Amino acid sequence: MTLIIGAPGETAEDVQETLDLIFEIERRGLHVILVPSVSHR
Amino acid sequence: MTTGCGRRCNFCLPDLNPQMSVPKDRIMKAVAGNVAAGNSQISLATEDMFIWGFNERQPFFFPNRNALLDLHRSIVEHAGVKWITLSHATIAPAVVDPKLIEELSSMLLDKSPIRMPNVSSHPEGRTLNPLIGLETGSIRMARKIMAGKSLPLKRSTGERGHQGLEVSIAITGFPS
Repeated sequence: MTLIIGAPGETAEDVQETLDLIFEIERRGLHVILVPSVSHR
Repeated sequence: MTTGCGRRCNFCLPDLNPQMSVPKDRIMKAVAGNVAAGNSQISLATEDMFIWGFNERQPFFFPNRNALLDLHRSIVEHAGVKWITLSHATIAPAVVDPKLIEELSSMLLDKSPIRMPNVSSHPEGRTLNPLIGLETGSIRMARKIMAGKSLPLKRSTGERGHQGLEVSIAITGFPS
């Protein structure tokens, strides 16, 4: 699965919610390969 | 398999292509051509495998289970096809039609060259690994940059963890 970090207008709270999602994936023991991508402006 | 997607995520260039499903007979000709040229591993290029062959009586984001199963069955049964790998997919169709995921998994797992025995219940540890754009855990950002991605599902305002639920359903259905 891909994740985008740094999309225009993204706030620290938005990033925290993405991190929460990652932790939730781990908590549920789901098997996911995460591919981060950084947005450039 | 397809071009375009139609979900109109604002960061996605391929989505600007016209939305089109390649007809099954053309796909099968390409499969036959690959096999004849010595390639025994088939991967159908797509932005979202679940929108292929959509039923024109419904919006495109409702998967056409029968068409998808028929196409993949034909590839699985094609002489000389040893392996099948998946390209891109979205999560929502998996939630809309979990039976499709179950049947596709059953059909395709034996042909997957990817083995992850620690996470798979397949006897040989095979998994199917579609590339899924999750992109963000922020409902606010999801609405801003990819409002159509969860269609036909609708998100509840401020319901954190909703995406995690979608993920859990899709993932438990797909690779293991």
